[in-house]
Amino acid sequence: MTLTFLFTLLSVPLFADESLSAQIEKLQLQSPVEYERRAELQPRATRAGHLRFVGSELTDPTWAPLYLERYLNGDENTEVRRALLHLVYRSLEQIPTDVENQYTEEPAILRADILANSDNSLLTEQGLKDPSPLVRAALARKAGISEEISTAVIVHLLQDQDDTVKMDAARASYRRDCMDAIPLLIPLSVQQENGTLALRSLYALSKINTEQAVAIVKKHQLAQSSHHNLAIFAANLLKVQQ
Amino acid sequence: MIFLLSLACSKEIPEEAWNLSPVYGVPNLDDDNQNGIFDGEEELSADENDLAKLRIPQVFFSNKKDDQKLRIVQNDDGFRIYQNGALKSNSTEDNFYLEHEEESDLLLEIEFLDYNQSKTISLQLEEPGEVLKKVDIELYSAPLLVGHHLQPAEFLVSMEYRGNDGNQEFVDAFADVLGDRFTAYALGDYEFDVWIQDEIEFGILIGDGHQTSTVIDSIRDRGLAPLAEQELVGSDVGRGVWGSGQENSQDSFGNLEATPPITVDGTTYPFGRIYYGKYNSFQMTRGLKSFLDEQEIQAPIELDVGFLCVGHVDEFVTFIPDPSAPQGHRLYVTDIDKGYEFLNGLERSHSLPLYGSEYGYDNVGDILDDNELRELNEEIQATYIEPNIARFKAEFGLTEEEIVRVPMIFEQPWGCGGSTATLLPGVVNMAVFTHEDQVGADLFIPDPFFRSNLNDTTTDPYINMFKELLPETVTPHWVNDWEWYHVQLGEVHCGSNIKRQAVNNWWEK
Repeated sequence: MTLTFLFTLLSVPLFADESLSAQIEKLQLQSPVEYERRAELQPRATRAGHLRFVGSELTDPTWAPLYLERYLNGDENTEVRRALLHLVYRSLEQIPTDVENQYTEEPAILRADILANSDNSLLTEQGLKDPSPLVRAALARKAGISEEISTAVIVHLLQDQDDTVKMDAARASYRRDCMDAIPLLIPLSVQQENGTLALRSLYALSKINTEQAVAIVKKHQLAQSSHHNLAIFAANLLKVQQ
Repeated sequence: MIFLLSLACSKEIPEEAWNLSPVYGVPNLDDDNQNGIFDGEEELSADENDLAKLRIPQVFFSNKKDDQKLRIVQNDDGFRIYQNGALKSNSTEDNFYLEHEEESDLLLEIEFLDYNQSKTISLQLEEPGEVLKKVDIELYSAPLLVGHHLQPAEFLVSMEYRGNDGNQEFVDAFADVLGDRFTAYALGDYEFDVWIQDEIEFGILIGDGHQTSTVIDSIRDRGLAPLAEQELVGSDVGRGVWGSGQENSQDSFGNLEATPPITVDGTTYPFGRIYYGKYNSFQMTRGLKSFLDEQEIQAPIELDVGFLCVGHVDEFVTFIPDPSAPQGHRLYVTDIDKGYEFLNGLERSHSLPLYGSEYGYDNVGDILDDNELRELNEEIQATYIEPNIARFKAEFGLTEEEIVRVPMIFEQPWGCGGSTATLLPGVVNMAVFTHEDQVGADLFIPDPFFRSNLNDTTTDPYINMFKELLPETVTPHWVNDWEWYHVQLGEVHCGSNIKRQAVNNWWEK
């Protein structure tokens, strides 16, 4: 089965009236020079290292089919496809169903981006079981801002084996005012292996239940922690309480 | 006649002549003859100019007795001694007699081969079979210093692409102000890597009456990796790489800065203190951290910048010369509370076309109504900004009076896994081109474009607010870095680099 045939089969309402390939053909006929330019366009490295297409004029939704086709055809490497996915999202302000349909076949970094920005609730279940912490962390971040996702997901992710997932779940817990998270946030706040996780967890606890956070700071003398930011945040928490 | 002979026979080297001053020099690690070999690794060339001078007063030769000899003994390895350009001693295995017939002081030349070394040689007065007198002379090689913003700028460099949609506006902003003190390198030659701040740091070396530079070349392996060797190394500019292994963003030199001179609990740091950031478990390569520690004089500290996607200290803090400040400078630090205070002072309908197209915030009201953004920023303020300000006070000895809190909001860009970058172009992430007087400076500041008429900076309330925060002695220049830098998670400072001159000697407190 060719990819083009797949596009036709899986086309979303966005391109419902015409197949993706037909739209691309039309773009090529209408603006051949611009078509060539955009078809060859390469992203540039951000300061953080990941790639991104530069130019706000690129986000004209008219050209989204071309970017989508480049993303879906799989000829480009993962980092370029990631930038293309971002460009598609910037152009359409949503993740097309064509992209979601390929979700399980994608590398973790792309699954994380798709999950974080898609409204498809089916991906939540898949994300929860995903072997990659990148994807589970993306789910945790999404759970912090989406009422569609149960807070039970946050509680589950707070018990993840990966610290970055737990950090994002801790942030999500206070954003969703998740009281069930408190028993998990307390041990995470006082563990000493990962100061950043402790800081994030203590902050979350302070937002959900300030008194409990202050009690934990006093009991475990967190204002004397060797982790500078944790110690200073804990000390400031005590000052505010006084 | 007999009386005169007797006087001549009784002449002696005066006691005070034996108090020979220490020698301060730079390690000879540049490439004065520009042949691609570091000078310390080859024989002296005619272009060599980095040898320190050790002066042996003429009185040693005129007043010693005929059967006496003066010998130089090298007590340590790791440096070389020359006389009139001829190698006389290379290790502790070597020693040599001084011969000097002229009516002037003898100048020996010392070639240091490493940074921040303390060595000695001995000058001995000998008669056959006996050392009559001996003095140790101290020799010091310069530590490698990271420049600070009170040091006069020598020149600024950036990357340039003048094709369609190029960064000429960015480049011209420097060229118009700095003229021949500005150099742009072709981006096409360096894989369109614009982040020249991150690839190199101009380290400063100070000898007695002589300054050179070592470019600290990052282990960062991106397009600009060959720049230092291709464009910068040469006479009085060397290059060194410290550390190895898998690079991470902490190895970039937007993440390596130094405070201006400070006094902390009675301890003065005449060249300031180095600061760099760590991002969770990601840290600057151990090799470079150890090397910077070994230089001692700038006593580095590590800050926690785990909230920043790029993870560099230049994203949230800088220093600006200010003669009205207690120590001649103030620290400018991003501040979320001030950010919302600033926004609350504007009309909600204040239009922001660039923010609309890039971030979906069409006006100030849209930003204020984004509760998720506000929650995120409150967390950053409480867990990173305030703790870091507390550390600036403790480690840099700064008071609140010396700190300027700059309104800012952070957002979570795509691709950053929940970490943040500034929503408005980070104005503290500026290039500070300090003048000779160490008071004035041209500030190249990212244009915040916090206005509807993008061509008219006078209508920009953020610019007008920020100008009020600056001392009168500096000149702000608003640089368009939006497309090429800001939305690519960097700013003016990240896309430029400044070589500075030290104005004081590290051996003089």
